[in-house]
Amino acid sequence: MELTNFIAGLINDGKVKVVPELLAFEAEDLRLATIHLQQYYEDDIQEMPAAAPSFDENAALWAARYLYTAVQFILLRNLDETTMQEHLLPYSGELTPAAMYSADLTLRYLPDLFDLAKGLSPNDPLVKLMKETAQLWPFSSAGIPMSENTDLSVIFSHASLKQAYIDRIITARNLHKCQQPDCYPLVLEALGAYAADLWPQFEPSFND
Amino acid sequence: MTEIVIVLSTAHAAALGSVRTFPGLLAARSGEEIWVRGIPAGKPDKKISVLPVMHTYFMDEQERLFAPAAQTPVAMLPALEWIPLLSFIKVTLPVSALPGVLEAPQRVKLVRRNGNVIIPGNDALLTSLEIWDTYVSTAPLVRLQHLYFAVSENREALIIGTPIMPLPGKTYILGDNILLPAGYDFDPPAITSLVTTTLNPLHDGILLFHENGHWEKIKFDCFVPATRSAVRLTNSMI
Repeated sequence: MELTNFIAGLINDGKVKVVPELLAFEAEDLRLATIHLQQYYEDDIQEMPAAAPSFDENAALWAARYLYTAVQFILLRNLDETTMQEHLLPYSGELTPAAMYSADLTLRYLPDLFDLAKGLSPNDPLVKLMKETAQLWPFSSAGIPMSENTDLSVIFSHASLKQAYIDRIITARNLHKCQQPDCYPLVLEALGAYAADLWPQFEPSFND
Repeated sequence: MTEIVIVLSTAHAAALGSVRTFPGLLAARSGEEIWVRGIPAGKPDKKISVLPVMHTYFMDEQERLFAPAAQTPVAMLPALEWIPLLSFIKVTLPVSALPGVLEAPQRVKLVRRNGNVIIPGNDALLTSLEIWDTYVSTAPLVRLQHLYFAVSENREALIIGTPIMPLPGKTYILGDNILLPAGYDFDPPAITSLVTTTLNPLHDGILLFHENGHWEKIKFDCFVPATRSAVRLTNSMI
């Protein structure tokens, strides 16, 4: 029940445990992990604006496994790049709003993994791989600096995801991201006439 | 001689009010007399000199009492319960008139503010739960983070905090834990503090006044942070 316990720990108290070797997850573990993710989804959508995207079981499970394995690779430094690429596979399904949000249930902790991996070299294959993943899943990496070429079309195609993404940028006080042409008008609309009170640093950056 | 001791009649106790803040003075009651000690020997302060004393004594270190200029003691300092003069003479606020007797309780009334008054920003909004739920569902998170709300059984939502949202409903101004309808004030306005001390003595809630003078108290623990989940859950339960 490694993956199930990992998800439960992540959701309940933010503390996780991984086994020190790369083993395949048991079928029962995957089944229970999916139930946990579904339950987490039901709770999480209560905080989502408007009607949240539906639950995509495959994307949710892929993200949980990816995160679990990434933590293992941060801790197990004896594993080579090839092994890493074999185990940290990208998502093979279609990138829909449902997939974006369902994967985010666990991928939202990916930025925290960068903190965990900050002792590693920026050129470390694991760091590069995680950055690529963060780039592909921008909804989960709203709070961290990313390339300006990030594709936000999936997020902006869904009203709930779009609002939640802008919320995250503002919560993270990410001035760089809110300056992106797609985001700026939405951030401006969210702050309205209260920008000076709600985010005092916001306006000056645009007057520079 | 170490200090001066004076004795006054209790009828003149009020006269001690002028010296009650002098440091080191102790007083004690003995029958119909008030004894005051702790006055430094030498030339006492003018305010002490003019007190209507019955007796004045000089006291040595053995607490023997001497009449002025006398070489032999006349008594020992009596064993009394000495307390600081500050505590001995209590302060009472002066009244401007004799207290009246109200034959009938006075109802609190609200009136519209006269003239072109500048109404400060609204502090609270009373609206329906449906309107509040619809707004919260799509409002930016940053607009909700400084708001709190409480909902009544008749599905009315009272939202306090800033920035208050431009929604249909009644707006209120908050002051001294009292919510008054925007544009209204007490009649007369000076009774605000009286209303607070009478109706909300523990300051454990907010008094919501309506235009007709009716009011209701909403305890602070009825308010919860304005999160989307809290509003949705509330809406599903009421």
